[in-house]
Amino acid sequence: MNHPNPGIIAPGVSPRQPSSFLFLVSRIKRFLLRRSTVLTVMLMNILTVAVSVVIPQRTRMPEAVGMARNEISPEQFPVLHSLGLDHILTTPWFAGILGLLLLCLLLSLPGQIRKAWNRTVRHGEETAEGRGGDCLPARSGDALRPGLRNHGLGRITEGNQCWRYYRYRWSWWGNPILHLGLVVIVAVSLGTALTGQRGVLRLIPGETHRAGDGWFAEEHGAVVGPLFLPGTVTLDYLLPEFWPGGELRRLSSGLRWGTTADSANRVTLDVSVPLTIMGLRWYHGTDFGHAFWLTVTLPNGDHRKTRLDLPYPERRGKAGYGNFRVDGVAYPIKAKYYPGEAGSPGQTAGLRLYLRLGEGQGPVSADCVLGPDRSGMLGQYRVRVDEVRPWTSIVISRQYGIALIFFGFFLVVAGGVLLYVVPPREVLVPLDGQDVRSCFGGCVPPDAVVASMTSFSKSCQDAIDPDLDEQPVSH
Amino acid sequence: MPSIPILMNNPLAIDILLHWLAVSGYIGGSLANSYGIIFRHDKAERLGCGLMTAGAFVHGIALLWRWHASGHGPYLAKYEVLSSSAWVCVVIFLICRRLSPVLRLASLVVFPASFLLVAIGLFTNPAIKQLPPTFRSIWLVFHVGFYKIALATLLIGLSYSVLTIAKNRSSCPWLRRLPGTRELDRFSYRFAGLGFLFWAIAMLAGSIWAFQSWGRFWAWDPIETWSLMTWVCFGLYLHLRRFFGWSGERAAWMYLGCFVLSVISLFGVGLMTASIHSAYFQ
Repeated sequence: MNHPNPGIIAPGVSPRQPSSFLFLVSRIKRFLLRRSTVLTVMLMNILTVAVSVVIPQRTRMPEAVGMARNEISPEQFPVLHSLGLDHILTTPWFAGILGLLLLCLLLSLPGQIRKAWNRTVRHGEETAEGRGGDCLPARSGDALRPGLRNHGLGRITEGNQCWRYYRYRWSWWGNPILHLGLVVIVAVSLGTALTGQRGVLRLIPGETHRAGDGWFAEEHGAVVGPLFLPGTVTLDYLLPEFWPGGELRRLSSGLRWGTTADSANRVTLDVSVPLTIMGLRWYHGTDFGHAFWLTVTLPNGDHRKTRLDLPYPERRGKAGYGNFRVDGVAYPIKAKYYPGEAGSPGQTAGLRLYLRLGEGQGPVSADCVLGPDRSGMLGQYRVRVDEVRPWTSIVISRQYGIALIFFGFFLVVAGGVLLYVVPPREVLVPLDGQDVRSCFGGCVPPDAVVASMTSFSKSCQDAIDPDLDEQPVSH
Repeated sequence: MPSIPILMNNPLAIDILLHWLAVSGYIGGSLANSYGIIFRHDKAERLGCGLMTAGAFVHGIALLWRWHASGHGPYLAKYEVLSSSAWVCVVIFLICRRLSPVLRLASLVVFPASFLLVAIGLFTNPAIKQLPPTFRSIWLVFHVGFYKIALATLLIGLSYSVLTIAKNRSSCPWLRRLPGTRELDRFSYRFAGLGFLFWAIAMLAGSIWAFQSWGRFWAWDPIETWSLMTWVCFGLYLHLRRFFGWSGERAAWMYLGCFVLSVISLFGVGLMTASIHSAYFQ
């Protein structure tokens, strides 16, 4: 019921909920569409990402471990950790900022589509004044027309008020297409981050990973559980190939997989050549190296068994490095190894493992050099290399919507091409003797079009009045 | 002076020799061109352009020679990255200048900057590096190629931003002869738009390559992150110009900041931090 005086609410009558809700929605929408809001959200995104560059970020996935070698420990910087600043990109507040950006983009889309529609399909919806652009002092629209046609501008008649000349009319859609692409990328990326699953297997030749066994490393989105591998996988062999200089040229593995106990399918998996197996995407990890099974004998006679996985060096002749701790050993053990000249992971002849005992950058308290099946003293600890085998990693993932993200990128590029390579141009010639208005969308490419704003405007001016020597007035 | 047979047996020596030849052309070209533009000496300007073209030709042969010797494109190691980036900048600028002579002013910045890139590259290790297995993808070629094109267009835009600032702040007679700041400013805006576009294409190709090689389209790797920041900053620049009416010196300073960010993304981050991209700039 409508009250006669909208400013007064009658006793016992509650305010109309839908209208106040709609009012709130429209206020929020207006706020999100404000230029300053959009600018602030963009700045917030830039700043957040910049902070993630400055503060070392924690990571769990082995392919990124090398990047995080300077990561900070939560114990050292509890405040940073509690704010999530050591893992910014996986914090809810970063998702919130991205969500805000998505909302701004989404809400601005209808307006942009409307504008493009009006300019390309429903001619004459906007007045010449409302379109902005550059204004040329008019003398005679008739004098302009031949010049406009010479510059490739076609004509559309808009009622009795003005004639509209245009070029690359459909490029007005560049803006909405570009922003739609951004919406698709941000929305699907958020979806992928929430639903993606990824697991890493670290295998040695002959080793079998069974369904339900734990991953070497895994990560999953907030709305899904860890990835489940519905079958077994066995690494049959690992085959690295090297360039003459000793750098890795190719890395491939022979895998056996099956979803039932007696099924065995063989595939060869290469780096950069992913396969789809059991409905999951399989990638060969880019890392491999040697695993050392060590027995450390403590001064009291206790034995400690440990496995040390060291990455293959950048090239033969260089060393692969790693640090590890053993229960009962006072200091961390720093390890490096030289794989020997043979290079093949199966060949361990010439392979040397260097162990050092020491804290951080402090002095080395003991060191020793060991080969396969050899033992030696590392200070007061006896260390024996029981076995050396090669290892590699297989990455298995399930992600939805990746093709959509690339499609979003394509839309951004397509919108950018329309805006900046074939920018829309239009000139409105009023029939009532008012100023002629030229309007150029986006930017223009470095060809003859580049000079268009100058030479085109000038030629228009010349067409109007050859003696006129005025600069175009910006609006 | 080594004899020709010795040179022919050493692909690196030929490569370096050709590069120095190209650099000589670039130095001469930059000097003559700048003299010609500043002192309105058409003959010197034409000579400068001719020398730059000759330098780019020799430089192109050097890059092709290296491609042949290494078996991969010039996008691995600092030497190759800097050299090929400089070549793309010079060639793209020469093409643009040919199509639109009004762009000739940008040569005041583009030519010396390109010469500087090659020269810095020549002081790094020229040894040929071999492609790691993840680098064998056609998407990598697009990824790298479009970043170079983006750098070239941004460098041309930078020239106009620098000229806008110089014209506003200095009363040198030759600066007074330049077109108005409004005109100069518009060029930097247009090339920023093109750079923004090419940067986006490069990121797209890179994300497809990353998905193929590592199973992720985006890994927040430091170089990726800096690249995204650069792109968003240029997006911000375009937004500020379009919707907030930024122009003139204020916009030119912002362009300068964005350009510095792009140089850090392309050449600096690889030196500062470990990254899955590191192999290309070590």
